[in-house]
Amino acid sequence: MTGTTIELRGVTKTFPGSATPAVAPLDLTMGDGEITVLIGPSGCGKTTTLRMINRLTNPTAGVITIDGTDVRERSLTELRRGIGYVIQQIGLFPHRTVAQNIATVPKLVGWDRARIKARVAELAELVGIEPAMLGRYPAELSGGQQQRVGVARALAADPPVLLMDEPFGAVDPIVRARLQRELLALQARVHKTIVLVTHDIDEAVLLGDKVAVLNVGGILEQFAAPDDLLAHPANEFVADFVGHERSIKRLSLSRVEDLDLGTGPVVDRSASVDEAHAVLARTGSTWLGLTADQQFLGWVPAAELAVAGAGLDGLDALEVRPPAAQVHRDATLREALELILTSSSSTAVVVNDDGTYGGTVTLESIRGGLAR
Amino acid sequence: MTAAASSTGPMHRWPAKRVVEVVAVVALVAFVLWARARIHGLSEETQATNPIIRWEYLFKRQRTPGELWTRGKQHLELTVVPVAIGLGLSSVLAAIGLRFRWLLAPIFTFAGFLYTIPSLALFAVLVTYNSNWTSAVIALTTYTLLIITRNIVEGIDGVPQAALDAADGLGMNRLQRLAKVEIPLALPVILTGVRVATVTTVGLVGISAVIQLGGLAYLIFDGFNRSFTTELVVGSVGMILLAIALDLVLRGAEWAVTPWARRTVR
Repeated sequence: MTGTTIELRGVTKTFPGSATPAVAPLDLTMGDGEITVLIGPSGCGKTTTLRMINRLTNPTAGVITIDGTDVRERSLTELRRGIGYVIQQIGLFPHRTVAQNIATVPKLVGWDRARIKARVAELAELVGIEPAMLGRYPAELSGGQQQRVGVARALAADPPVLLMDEPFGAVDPIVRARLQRELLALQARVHKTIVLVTHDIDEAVLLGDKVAVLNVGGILEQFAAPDDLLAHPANEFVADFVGHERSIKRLSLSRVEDLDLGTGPVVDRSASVDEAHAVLARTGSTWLGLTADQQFLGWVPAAELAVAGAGLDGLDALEVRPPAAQVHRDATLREALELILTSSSSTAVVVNDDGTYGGTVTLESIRGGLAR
Repeated sequence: MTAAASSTGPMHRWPAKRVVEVVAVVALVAFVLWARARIHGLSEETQATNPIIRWEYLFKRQRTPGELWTRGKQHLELTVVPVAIGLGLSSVLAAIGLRFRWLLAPIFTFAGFLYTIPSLALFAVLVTYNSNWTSAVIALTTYTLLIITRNIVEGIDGVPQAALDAADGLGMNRLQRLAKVEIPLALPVILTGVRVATVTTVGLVGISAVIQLGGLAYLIFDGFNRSFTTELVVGSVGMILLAIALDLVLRGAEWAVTPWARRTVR
């Protein structure tokens, strides 16, 4: 692997005066440009593990390498200046303005004023801080704004690695959800190697490319992609930890386009009445969908088709109900399910990027998708 | 960036409380003078020959301005020098105590012990081995140690753990963390200690009149000895004004160095 990979080999931490290790010998590889989430109950050593990476805590045994280089080979300050660090309490310096806070590391490494100023402006834009806020003090910001400043400060000198210790733990759920989305959008632009500690399985599943589930004493129970974790928990502990609504959680992870999208009980408007009957018979549907020029027009109850009977010249004559349930290809299965549950045809229509008809999603196809 | 930041802030007015304090002190002095006149029940005759204030002492006597200046300057020096030395020594004591935590209790006990020594006794002992000036400075310095050391330690200890964690995590070394995070954040508490020590010292300087110093308080003792109320009142008022002036200056300094503490959550 190229790029910035963090490797933990046999990393152990036993705090003085404690008989049992806080972190048992731990092997873990955090991939380049990925978000690796460390999750587990209190006392599982997730924060300790994170803090050993930038040596805020020193391992009792084992080796941690970043990019193949042992973290102990670099000076403490040099190492930390090259690693972004975000904590739950945010830890902004109350006596420094937002701009000064963001400029902390660039100043430490000796950038000139013009470069720092430009970088601060760039970061403010990146994390969504209005320029007017740069002159304010942290106490004048809301919790969400403070957290954005914390992230901007961590990213200031463009470190390849970002360590985040429960970064959204101190903000309310609505702001948290927004910050989580922002982090994903940010990551899509900056591609850092991110290690994130949380105790919230939903957050882990949403943000993580890989999730490491730790048990008390720093024992690694499972290290897998979120969907894997939910679909195939390695043991009872993991199953218990990820919770009862595993399938519901997985719905948020898969997208409509991942499913086998059937063409559904749908025909073109120019098709003959016989063809329409044939489709209905084959699918067993009580609704018939009509398209024209690849666009989905709407639904017609199968009963109306039957009533019109042989007297019907073409499908054009039927009254079409506009579709209530339409989802985009990259919608999550959760969004699709929501629409299916509220749609009288129990079917959501999939729309492609160019607006053309892309098939249908039903409860059956979602179940099939999760079973894979 | 600092200049830009401070210029964007709204101007804050001096708190009205200050004015109230000054008025209260002036009123108190006036009351004491009035009460004295009543208690002594001086006859009109005596009052006429020995009034509380002989204005000519202040405005006609040629030596008065020079005396006031000399005594006032001595009082200021005997306040500022011990506080400055005390701040230096306290910084060292606090640094040692913060570095070696187990020494903190002994340091406070020691400073507390110094604080309990009666000033008169201390002057008496010191003056046997030193000049008057040195004795006064040593004695007055010892009384500042407890207050200032305690405030430095409290101030540094009060710095939020999250800020320290962030400072370490961002790669500040120990000295940078101290200079850029700990001291600035502890400054309000430290300056409060310096202010309290200063105002206390203004009062204690008076005791050094027993070794021919005393600053403005010399006038008080001299006034007592000669039953000359005017001199006594001038000395008292001068001391009070000096204490208030130094208090205001240091409050101003506190106010000026902590712009961040004035901004509130929107």
